[in-house]
Amino acid sequence: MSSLSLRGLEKRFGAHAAVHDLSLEVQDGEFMCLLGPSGCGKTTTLRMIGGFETPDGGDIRIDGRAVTALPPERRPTAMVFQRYNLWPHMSVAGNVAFGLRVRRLPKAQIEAKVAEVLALVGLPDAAAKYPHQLSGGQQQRIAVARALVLEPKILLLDEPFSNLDARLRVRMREEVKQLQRAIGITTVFVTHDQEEALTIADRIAVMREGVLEQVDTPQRLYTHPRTTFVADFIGTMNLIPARVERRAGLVTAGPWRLPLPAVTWPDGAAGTLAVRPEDLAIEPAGTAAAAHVRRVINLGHYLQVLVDVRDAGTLRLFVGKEAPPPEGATIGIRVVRGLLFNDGEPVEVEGERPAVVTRGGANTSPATGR
Amino acid sequence: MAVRAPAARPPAGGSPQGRRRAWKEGALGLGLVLPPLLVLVFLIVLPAANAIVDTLTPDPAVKGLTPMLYARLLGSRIVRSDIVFTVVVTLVSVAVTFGLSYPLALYLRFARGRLAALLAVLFTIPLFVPVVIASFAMITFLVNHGVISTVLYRLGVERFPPLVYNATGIVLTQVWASLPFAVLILGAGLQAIDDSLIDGARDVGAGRLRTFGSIILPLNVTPTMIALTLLFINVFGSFTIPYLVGGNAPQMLGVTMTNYLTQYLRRSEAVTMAVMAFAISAVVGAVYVLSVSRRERGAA
Amino acid sequence: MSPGWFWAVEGLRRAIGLGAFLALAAFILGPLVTLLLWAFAGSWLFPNLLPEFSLKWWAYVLANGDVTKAIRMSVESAPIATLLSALICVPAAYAFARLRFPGRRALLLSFLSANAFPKIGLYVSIATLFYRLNLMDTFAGVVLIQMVNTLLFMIWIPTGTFRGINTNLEEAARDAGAGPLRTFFQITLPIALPGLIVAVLFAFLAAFDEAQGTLIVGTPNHITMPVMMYTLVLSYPQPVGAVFSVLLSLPSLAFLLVAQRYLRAGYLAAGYSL
Repeated sequence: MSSLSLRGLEKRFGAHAAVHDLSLEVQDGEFMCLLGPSGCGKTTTLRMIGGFETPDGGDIRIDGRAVTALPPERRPTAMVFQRYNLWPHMSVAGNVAFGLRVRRLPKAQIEAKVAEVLALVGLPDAAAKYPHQLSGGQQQRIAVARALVLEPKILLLDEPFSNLDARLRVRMREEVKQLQRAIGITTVFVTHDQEEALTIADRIAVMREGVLEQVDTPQRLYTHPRTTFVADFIGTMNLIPARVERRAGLVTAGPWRLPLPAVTWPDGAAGTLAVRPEDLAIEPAGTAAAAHVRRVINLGHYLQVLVDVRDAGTLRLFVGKEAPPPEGATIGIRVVRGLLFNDGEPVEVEGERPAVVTRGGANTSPATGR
Repeated sequence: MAVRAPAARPPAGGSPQGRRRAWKEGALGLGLVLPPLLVLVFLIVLPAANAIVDTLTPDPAVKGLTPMLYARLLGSRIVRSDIVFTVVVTLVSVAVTFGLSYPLALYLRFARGRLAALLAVLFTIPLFVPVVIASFAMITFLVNHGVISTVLYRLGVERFPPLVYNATGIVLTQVWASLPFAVLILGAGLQAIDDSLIDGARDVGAGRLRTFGSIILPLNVTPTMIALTLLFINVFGSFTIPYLVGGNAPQMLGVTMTNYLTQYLRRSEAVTMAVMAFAISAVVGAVYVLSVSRRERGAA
Repeated sequence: MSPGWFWAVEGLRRAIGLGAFLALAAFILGPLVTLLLWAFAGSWLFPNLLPEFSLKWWAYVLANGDVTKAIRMSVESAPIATLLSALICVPAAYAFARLRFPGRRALLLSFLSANAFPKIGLYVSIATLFYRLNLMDTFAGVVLIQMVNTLLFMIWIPTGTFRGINTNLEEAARDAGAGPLRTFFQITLPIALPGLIVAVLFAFLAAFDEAQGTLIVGTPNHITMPVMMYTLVLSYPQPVGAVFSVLLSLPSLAFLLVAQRYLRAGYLAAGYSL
């Protein structure tokens, strides 16, 4: 049970800064994901924690003790790589026992620990086998076992399931999550798959081009992204160019006019409105902004609808499967809520309320308080 | 959980630990490489440099460097004809070997089945036969009243040109000995060309010849250059094969210089010829080194 | 894989292929078979297709004192040259493959470039150096000459082998608590072993079969088997040379059998493709 602290980490390869000024606190027993596109520096960061790269600046502390100067064999960390974990010339038992032998534990104790950890990962009969006799998923499980048998303070995983096929990947990450919960070991897991991170992490650190964009729980990352990058990277997001119209007290985004929230932005300021697909509602044609239905994708339990909206581009909606809009038709789309990004912190924006049709047939949108 | 904007430029200089580690790694690397490097210098660089200097200062009475020895040797008609002979035999051997090995390498790359498997074993056999034995075997095979001669005689052919103790014998033996080497290098290059590249060409309608010319040949240029230059250097500087299988005159340079050294005891002339052979090979060798260094950069 | 796409018309191509194969087989195997027949020939008169068989030349060769001396010289010098090369070259190969140090590429290239010089020229130059150092006609001189040939193989092939081992495997060992030395001996070396064996095989054969340099440096008292061959070929009846050839081939044959396992295209080609 240990805490991990990264302060101001720097790593350069030539002139290129792979990691810049990265600071992160991982709590005792937490499952932290480092998430980002390729090249964002997440693996480099992980390797610095494990001791395989030396930082050019900053330091790393485990339980308050600085480990930056320690080589990998003396750090209380254990790493599971993406590939080439198991030594091909040793049996599974040999692989798992290697670290224990280095520590000169007595033979009987080694055997007991090996058996115990193999049972833990669900492969109790694999001890005498050789890596080439195991499937990819089994090999990764043994790699996890080998890491855990040393009872490290921090468990590091570098996209360990990327090489497995999709269903196996889902199953393996569930197993790792359960294992981690049961043992309570502080874990750092690197992935480029945001769905994977959202599923298993306690908190996620989103990285881009060597820099930390946001660290938060999956839920908050989803509902309160702090930059357009995070907004776009996590889940699906519609991004619409927006503009402040101070005098009218509105924000215009595409065909929509939304009430301006309490901000100090000047008139004419340009920003981005980020709207989740589930925050766009379908209205009868003519009662809300016009949208041309390009495609309806049936995903079994819900529908994804792709629409073209003038001045807003192609947007994506998630709707229930009750009343699928026909492809090629024109429908109305209403913004329920969104996030407005300019400089600094994004601001929540409430959408217009649905239009009310008056007796006379004229269509009036009630001005929201103005 | 503050969000930072990416910095404009990273600060210069690494951490003290980083620099120390890099320094230690560098020192260790150089230290490990030192022993074979010293042997290399002692066995190759030093003698070669020595030889070059010695040949340029043959007469203690003459101060400074003089190409006297070279002029004298090149003045000898015998030596000149030996040089020409060596170059011609080398070029022919390389051409024939290349002409045989490329199709072989291609066949082994694309064909499947028992014949290909057998062939794969067959072509490696000369690799395991010492050159001395190979030369001798060729002699017994090709000599007048040897096996070929007997078979042809039985088939009714009574006269045919001599196949040994002349340039023909040398070429045939060089081809025999160089074949596996060439096939291996070319084959390794062909192996590196993914099937999908070739299937892709076929898919858009390219025929066999077109695929070979436009896809395979260009992608295999570096191994081809390596094979050609190594073949040239090997044959050019060979001794055993021309010594045993060749005639008395003209001779290949390797034999000439050895005779000058061990039989006529004219050491300086022998070394001068060695340096001339170096020079000619150096030009070809430069091509080799460039090809290898290009491959190294790719692999590194 | 697209088997057979290279051949359009099946039957004709097959016939040509078979014909070419037989021609090649005759070219490659013919001389060797001939030599083998000569080794067991009492006498072979033209135009008989086969000789009269006899073992008398074996008795002749094996009774020859010079022959046994040459055999002993070969058997003593080649393993030593190979072992020495392995000892100094394998760590260097690891350095070339894994470590970063100044001049790494240039130095590796310089080893490979030593191949760019005609060997006979080198031997002639080395001879003049050896004269000065009193290394002519000595055991040490012969071993050094053999090392000129082994050095290249023992750097070339092991460097490729070590490069081919994914660094994760070594990092995992460090991660588990092993220091650099233990990692090298317990992880890297065992995994590299097949490639290293191939390198040792080639190096040994290169040392054992070395003739040109030893002819210059080892005459007259330190003659190896290949050097002896020169005399036998030039000055003795054909069966004598043939018998000796069989003797000289024995190590190569032995290695061929042992190496069958490791002689997958990858290893051989890896060595040659560097």
